[in-house]
Amino acid sequence: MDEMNITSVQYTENNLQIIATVDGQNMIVPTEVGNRHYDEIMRQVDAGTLTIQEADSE
Amino acid sequence: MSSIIKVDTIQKADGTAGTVQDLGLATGALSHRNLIHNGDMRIAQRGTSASISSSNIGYKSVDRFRVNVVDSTCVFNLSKDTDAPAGFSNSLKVVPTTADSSVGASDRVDLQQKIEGQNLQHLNYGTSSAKDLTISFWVKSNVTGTYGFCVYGYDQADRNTYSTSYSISSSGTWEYKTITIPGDTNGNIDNNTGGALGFIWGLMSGTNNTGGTTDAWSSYLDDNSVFLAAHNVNVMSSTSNYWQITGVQLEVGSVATPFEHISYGEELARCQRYYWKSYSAFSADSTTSFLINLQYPTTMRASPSVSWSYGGVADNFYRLSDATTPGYSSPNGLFAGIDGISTTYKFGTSFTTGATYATYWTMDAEM
Repeated sequence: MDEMNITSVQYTENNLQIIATVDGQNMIVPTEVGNRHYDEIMRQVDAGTLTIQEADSE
Repeated sequence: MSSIIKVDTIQKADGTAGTVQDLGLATGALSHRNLIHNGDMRIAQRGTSASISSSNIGYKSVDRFRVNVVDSTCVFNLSKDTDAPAGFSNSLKVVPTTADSSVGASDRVDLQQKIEGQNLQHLNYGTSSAKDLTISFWVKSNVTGTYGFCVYGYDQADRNTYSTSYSISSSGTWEYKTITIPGDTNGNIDNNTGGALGFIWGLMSGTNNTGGTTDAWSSYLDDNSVFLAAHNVNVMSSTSNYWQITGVQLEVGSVATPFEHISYGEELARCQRYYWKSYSAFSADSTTSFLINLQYPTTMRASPSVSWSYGGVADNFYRLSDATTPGYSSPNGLFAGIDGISTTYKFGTSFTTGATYATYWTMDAEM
């Protein structure tokens, strides 16, 4: 119902956050239920329409 | 000792004569009765204007109001405007810049505000004593006709939806509208920080979201056509069109009372629970990290998503020592809680150890 355009999704070190481009804006998203960006990312992952890239190696 | 209050006349919010029933004092609170935030469209932390398209949606201008666009053609300007009815200074205005006069079945443009479940527990939804709500607002457009409006329940499995409508009868004239929404005796509202009810104004809608049941609670998941069931206008049909709204008030009961004006500071604080921005300076403590201690002005609804920019350029910082604006790559850690940020921020990009940087941070905990 609430559309959201999410691209370039990648975990940070230790999968503590997600770096994402949401509606054209880069942001750091906490991996916490209740954050609308995280909730939508996981909804799209569960739906098979989005994949979260692994963190860059140090 | 007895007291007598004599009242010569009662005037309703739209300026017409009213009765004692119109006071609505029997059910509504005497203050802070407006469940809508920023209903007079004064707060616009993100900016007073934004170009909206299907690739740029969400919360973009006036605080707490979100736009959804399911249409690949139309583009419109969303702004905080100074044209408003008497008693108000601002309105939210929609002006198409790329028109779409051919509405596909799934096309939809709408404006929405969500309300936290914990702020709606007194409605007793999901019980036989569920309370009525009344929403009132001023609206103006050159596009006359019937506009869809709905209340969408996010907490129910069936997404209970109450769909109704209002009409704009006179082009280019501020009109005052009131809609009473009966309490939903079947739909629960979770007592948490999630968005429980969405209040949605349609601006364009294809047949997938029109034609269904109106003026009754029904399941959106069973029938999507209930969403903006009665909507039959298209604000996006011409770049000469516009639609404006202000003075939005949602209150318990079946009577719309005059808009409750509150101070700018109080309204701003309400909005900052969901979004805020700050210009802050900090020092790099190594080539890959800096320490920051940033406390929010109010507790946010949830741990926010964080972004930053300088000079209007996303991801940029400003190094005060040489007035350069280095960007960043591969940030590895920013721990933003509901009260603030106080941690080391690790970056792949090299900082100058000891140098002072600054940027505009934004924290987004909207629903």
